[in-house]
Amino acid sequence: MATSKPQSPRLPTPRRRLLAAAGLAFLLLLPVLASAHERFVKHNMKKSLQNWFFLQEDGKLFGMDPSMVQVGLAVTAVLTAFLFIWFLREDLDEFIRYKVLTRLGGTPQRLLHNLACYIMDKPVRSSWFYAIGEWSVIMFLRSPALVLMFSATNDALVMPSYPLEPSSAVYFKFLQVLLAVMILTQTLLPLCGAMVIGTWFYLFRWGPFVAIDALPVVTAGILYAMSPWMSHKLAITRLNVDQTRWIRIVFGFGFFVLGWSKIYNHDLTIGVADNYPSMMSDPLVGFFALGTDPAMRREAWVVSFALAEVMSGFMVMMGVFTRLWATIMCVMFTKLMLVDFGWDEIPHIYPIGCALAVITSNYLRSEFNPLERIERVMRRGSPVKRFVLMGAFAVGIAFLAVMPMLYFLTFTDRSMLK
Amino acid sequence: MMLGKIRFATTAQILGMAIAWAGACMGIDFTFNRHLWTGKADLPPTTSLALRINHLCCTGCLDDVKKALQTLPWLKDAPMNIREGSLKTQEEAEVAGPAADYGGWLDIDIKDANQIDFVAIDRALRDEGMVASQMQFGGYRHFRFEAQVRHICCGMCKDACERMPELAKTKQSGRLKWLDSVVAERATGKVTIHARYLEPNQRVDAAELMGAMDEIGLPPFSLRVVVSSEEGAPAAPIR
Repeated sequence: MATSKPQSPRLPTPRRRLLAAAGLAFLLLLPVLASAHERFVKHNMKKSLQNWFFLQEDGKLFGMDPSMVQVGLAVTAVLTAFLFIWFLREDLDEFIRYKVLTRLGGTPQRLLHNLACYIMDKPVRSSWFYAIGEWSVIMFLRSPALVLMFSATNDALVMPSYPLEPSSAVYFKFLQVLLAVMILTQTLLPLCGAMVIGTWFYLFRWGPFVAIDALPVVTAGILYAMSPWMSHKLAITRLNVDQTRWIRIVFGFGFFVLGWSKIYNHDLTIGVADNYPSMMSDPLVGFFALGTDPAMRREAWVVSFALAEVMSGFMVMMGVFTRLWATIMCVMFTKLMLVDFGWDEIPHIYPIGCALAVITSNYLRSEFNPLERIERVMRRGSPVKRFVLMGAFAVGIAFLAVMPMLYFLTFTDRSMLK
Repeated sequence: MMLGKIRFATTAQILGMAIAWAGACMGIDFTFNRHLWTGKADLPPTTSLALRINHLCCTGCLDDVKKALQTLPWLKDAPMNIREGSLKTQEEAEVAGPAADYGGWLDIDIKDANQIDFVAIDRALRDEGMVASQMQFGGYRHFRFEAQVRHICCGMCKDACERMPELAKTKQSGRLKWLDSVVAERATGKVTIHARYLEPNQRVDAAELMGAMDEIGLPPFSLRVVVSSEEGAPAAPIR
């Protein structure tokens, strides 16, 4: 009989700091060398891109193509809007609570209240939400084992995109199966976490792009690493505050970086889209590319697609409308797996598990706590002043999240990808 | 159930174990994949084609291999070198004792990779009584093979061709790792096999592709390399 699992205590502050420092130090050690890596799905380009579009151009503002700047600013504007609403969400919550919910009663009131809590990352107090949450954590906890088994049977490491060299394949395959068995039986989960994170470290040997692509794996590693040693005796069905936070940050960071790498490795991005044209009809991506030079349609699409990922990754990483964006990611991954790419993308099952576990956690927090504190203090004063200040913060953060990196990428040398 | 005190791993423990595990992976990699750590390809950088001749013990064998290959117009003047450096003469081989391996590699410098037809090479060698177990090709970041098969009579034949990468028979022994996708045209009998992007030192083995096509029951009568892109622009060599 399964025992109920007590909530894991919060990690002590020095430990959290050490974890953050270690993570930061590791990121700073990222090698700059990029090696060509492609997805397992078809990726051959039907038509070449204009490479100069992605590079510095003489006579242009900041040396950037106007269409690229336009897409960047469109994404900045949308991100600003989301951040602004987030900072002032308590006003929205008050409005819903006192102006809308009071007029309703019974089930509609409960449903709307739960929906508002869901969108604004507040705890959803509902038995079915708890039940889905418990199931999601179990799925997230175990699904990496299935992916490891799947990869082992496909002579690959972690994901079928990384084929193993035949001379060493047998060793890695057995080790993956060992790890998968430990995960499935919940044996020494912290060791499993270290093995997952260690394998991810090892992927850097094949270049940073491989490691970036595999970042979602680290989210599972964090869950295991932060589980108790006696994990085999416990029914782990909820994420605690720290697990939720670190999984959310790494999950979002993965997409944030993957988005930028899509611009850097633009030929691969358009190559996949050329083989799966349905990807090009995404409404949000189409909105970002609206009004760009029609002659640069494909190039603008690459930037829009990549920045949509950057934006969603940034919001999840920073804890802004986490549930909303994680839900969008969940739907998108499921669609990619079931509709667009098919069986080749079956490893997407654990990012889906990760997104579900984050969505159903009732411990969601934002990384903008200091700003939210300022907003709370300012509620006593003039609302106009508060709106202007929060608007300024939103614009500044959104601009810094998108434009400097976009500008920096126009200076990068892509010869390593050739 | 006795639970005891719940203990968690410390950050230092996790980092230590993760680094140790990464080191173990690196150790396995270094021990068993030495060829990937040398930095240089097994083949000389100018060589496009390398044949593993299963029997190449002396200069007499080499003469027959060269004679076979030189029947192909595009190999007539191509430089051919034994990778091992030199071979025993027939006289030396006459009195030599048993060897562990009687085969060897023949590196061939080919000016235009688009001329290579692996089926023609295989046929020419067999006509002379020799055989190559591996036909390694590389040196280009991206290329494709175009095979011609005589028999594609229905949708299932086409499906069998296109599903070649995932069919169990062709996946044995970890083969075709380099294969990205296959497109078969029923009307023309053309099967296009797209290779994944290759690293500078990576080579693909056309012999394993021919073996895979045999195993699905649709053997090619020609298997050519196409290194130009689909729009006609030449693909950049990576060497």
